[in-house]
Amino acid sequence: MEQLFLLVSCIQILLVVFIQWQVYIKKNIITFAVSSFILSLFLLQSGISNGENTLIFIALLTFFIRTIFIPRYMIVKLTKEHWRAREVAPVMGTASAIICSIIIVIISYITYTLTLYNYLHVKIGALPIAIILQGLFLIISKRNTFVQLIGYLIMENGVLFFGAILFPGLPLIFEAGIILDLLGIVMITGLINRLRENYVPDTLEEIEDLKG
Amino acid sequence: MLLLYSVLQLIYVILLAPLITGILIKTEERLESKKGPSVFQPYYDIFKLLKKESLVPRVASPIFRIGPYLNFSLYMLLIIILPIITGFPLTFGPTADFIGGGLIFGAASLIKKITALDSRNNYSHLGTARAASVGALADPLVVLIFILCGIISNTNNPYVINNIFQTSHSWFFSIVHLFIASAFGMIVIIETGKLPIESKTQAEFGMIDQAMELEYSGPELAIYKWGGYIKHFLLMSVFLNVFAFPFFLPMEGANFTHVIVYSFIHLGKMIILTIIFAFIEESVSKYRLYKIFDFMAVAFVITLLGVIAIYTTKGIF
Repeated sequence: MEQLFLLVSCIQILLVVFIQWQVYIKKNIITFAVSSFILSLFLLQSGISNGENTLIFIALLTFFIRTIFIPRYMIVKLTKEHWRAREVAPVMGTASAIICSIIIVIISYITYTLTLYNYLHVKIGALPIAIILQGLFLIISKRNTFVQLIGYLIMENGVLFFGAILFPGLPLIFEAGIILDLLGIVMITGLINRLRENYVPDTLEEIEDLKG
Repeated sequence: MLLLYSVLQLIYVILLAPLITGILIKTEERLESKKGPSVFQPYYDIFKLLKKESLVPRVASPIFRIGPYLNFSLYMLLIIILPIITGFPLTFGPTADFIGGGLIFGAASLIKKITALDSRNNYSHLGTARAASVGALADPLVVLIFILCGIISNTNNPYVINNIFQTSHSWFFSIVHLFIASAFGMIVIIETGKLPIESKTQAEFGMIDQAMELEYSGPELAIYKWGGYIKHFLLMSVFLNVFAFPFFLPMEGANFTHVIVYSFIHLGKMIILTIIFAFIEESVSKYRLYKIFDFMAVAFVITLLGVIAIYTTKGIF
């Protein structure tokens, strides 16, 4: 189980690195969908092996909302020519962003070992925290609204991962509430972005500069 | 007997290295629905160049002529050190460990850079600067991978690392091994200049290796090319024998027949890897020069994740 948890955490971290590496927004959205799909599979497996119905329900909710609905909605709302949409001017260079991303993982590991580890006694608990911080870093390292939104969603994935594994007794209403909040944020952001695209006479670059 | 195996290994690599390049070129051409040159074309090129006259720039020093032979001899030294057709150390095996092998690779590359600078050609200088920039970031990454292997095996000996991965299923199927193998695979792509890096291009914007040997002709060029084929062969062998697929290597006590049989298995492994490389080369586009560093950054991230995986699951911290 520990190896599986480690594998899923590392895949999640690598997928965030892949998002940092990619320029095209559509690929980033698809990568996020893959990341959510892996998370839902892990939650399902964990729920089945532990006999926790709540985890199975959350896994299904994650699959339908984060793997299918949100990515699909984002691609539809992206632009009329979604295959062309890309991050034009990120705040920092790709290589630097990738290196910073992994430094964040190391810092979160050290911080976790010195603090929360003393209470939880699970070494790999550092990795979901690293995923949360990586999502946060994605928000500040990119200018495109949709990538920033993906950063927010990745943070939320990290929180869910952390909560579901280390605190499996969390009430279902708490998790479901977060997912509904998420849905609202994504829909509102998508609408605002589409309105901006329709009413502001602009070029693609100007849309890209929209601060989230 | 060990000396005999060493000689056998030396002949095996020197003779078959151009064939692997020939197979790569042929496969790529076939994937493009072209007929392509014969798989023996690299041999024909080498023999043609060996018979040609050698031209040396007037401003070049004697280093320019000696360089290719020094470079080639360093690769010969590596052949008899690394595990290629045996899983046990041969006569010269204890000469250098993984770090030592890396240093010999570095020395061969340094000689190539010095001779390129000595040619006083602008393009050669440009290629040298680019190769030095890439090497300055790729080599520490290789060292980091070797350190990670050292943590697993408590040694830097490639034979021990091979034996551990060959015999211990828990290490072979561990996530740490997955990260090490992936990162080293990316390093092989960088060092051999395959797509998406492609250092062999003739285009000025992207050329690295090709630029460095621009002033060479005749036998010296043939020796440089042959050395390049051997470098590819060695890196691919290390990737296969130590990291990706360390199985079937004859262990201590194996007889002559085992070694001969494994030579054929090794050749088969190399051909399969070459075909995989050909597929990769045909399906990805070339990175712009500065994007190479993004690729290396990802390799670095994968290696560091391997370190974190070791600390979190083995409790070394």
